[in-house]
Amino acid sequence: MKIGDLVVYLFAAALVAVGLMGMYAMGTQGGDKSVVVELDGKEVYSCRIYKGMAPVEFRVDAGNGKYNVVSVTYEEVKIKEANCPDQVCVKSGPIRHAGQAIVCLPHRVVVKITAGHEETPDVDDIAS
Amino acid sequence: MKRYQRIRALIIAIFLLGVALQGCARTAGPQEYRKDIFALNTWVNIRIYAGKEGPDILDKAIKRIEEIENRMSVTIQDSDVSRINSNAGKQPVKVHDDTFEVIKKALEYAEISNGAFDITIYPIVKLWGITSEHPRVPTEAEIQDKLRFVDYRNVVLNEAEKTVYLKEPGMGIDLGAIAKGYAADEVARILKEEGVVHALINMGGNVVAMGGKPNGQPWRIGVQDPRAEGARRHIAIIEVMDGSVVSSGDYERYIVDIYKKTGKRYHHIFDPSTGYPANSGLMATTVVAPNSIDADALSTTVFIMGVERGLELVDKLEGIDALAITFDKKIYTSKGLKGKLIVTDKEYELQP
Repeated sequence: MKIGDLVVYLFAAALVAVGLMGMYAMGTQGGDKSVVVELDGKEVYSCRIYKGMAPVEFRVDAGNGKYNVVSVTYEEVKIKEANCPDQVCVKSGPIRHAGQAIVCLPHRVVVKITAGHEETPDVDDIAS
Repeated sequence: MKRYQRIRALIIAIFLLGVALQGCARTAGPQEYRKDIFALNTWVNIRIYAGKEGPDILDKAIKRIEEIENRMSVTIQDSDVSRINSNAGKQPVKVHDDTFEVIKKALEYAEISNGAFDITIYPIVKLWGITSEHPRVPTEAEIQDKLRFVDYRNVVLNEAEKTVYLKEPGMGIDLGAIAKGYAADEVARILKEEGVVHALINMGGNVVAMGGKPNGQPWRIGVQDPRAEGARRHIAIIEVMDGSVVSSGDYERYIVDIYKKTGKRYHHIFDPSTGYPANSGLMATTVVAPNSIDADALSTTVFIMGVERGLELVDKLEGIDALAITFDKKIYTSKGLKGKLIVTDKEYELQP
């Protein structure tokens, strides 16, 4: 075997290795949960939840001065503050698992945790 | 020769990579389509598995929900229900077939529950205004005054004319404890007509499961944590292939008495015999039934009747099951649910 052959084989091996690594990375990414925020049925925000992530806090503008402040950490997701009349969303406390959601009916805001596509949620839906 | 070897090595490498990446590709077949909207005063989610006609099917389902809302809402001025109420003591009102069907079903449940389930509760609902902008705790005299109008036996149906008549002026009906169940059943009917096999419908907590999951497993439906407020968070799981699961509880809509500083919780499910929020020792109930209209009406009924009388009633009904959660976090089940409920929250204790 000449050096040229060796180069080609090494190149081929490297190509496969990179491909496999890429797949692995995609796989783990697919396994992570996400937070999705919807306003009146339309997605307005989403972010991935993963180990080691920095805590995220953001304000959802529901129009006419209405707002909800959402806090996201690896451990839990909650509505920290809102100016809705019933404060049900704030009193809800945190959600942690895929399939769970916090609903602010007056503002038509929904904060939900969705499963990554390699992952099965504990429940498919909740009779509330 | 050497050149061929090199090319062959490259081709093999690319082929291997191709095979490896193939593993990532999703399998073809029906796709998942979802629709989340706010309707019937609540959050509605529909998830179906269908071909590319999926979005059209969902639109059809949503249109039907809006139609039902426009006919049965007590807050929409020209709905069937509003017209029935404004003509109380005056004249019978012709209504749509679906409104008639729902009222008829509601009266059946009033009958079998001895009036625990009663759609003529509306004057009481209005008096308290729990879901309105200005809820308040009324006086005893005010409650007694409105309670006179609460009696399902004063609703007169005319099957041939499809009319509904409330005998006494001052009476009123509210279909809030049954209309969502009917709407969920209607969505399921439309989906089936359109050839959808696997679907999950959630009409503000009224869940309808269709055909199990696409992989053949049953749908796993969570039982709402009665102290999770606005969060959908579960304490137990019920597995369902086809059927409806509905919960009712003191957690859905309520006010806390801050005026007298008693901290007492006044929720939105009223006991027609007292005019006060039902106080049967329960935080919540969940009913499993083939049809959502039954599960919806019965979850309210069992909540008002309490563990003993409520579960006794459910045990008499074919194919219907229920669970009831007491304030001390004990879960009682009807006979058919024994051994089927998966409790996931250790704070709750399943009773044998």
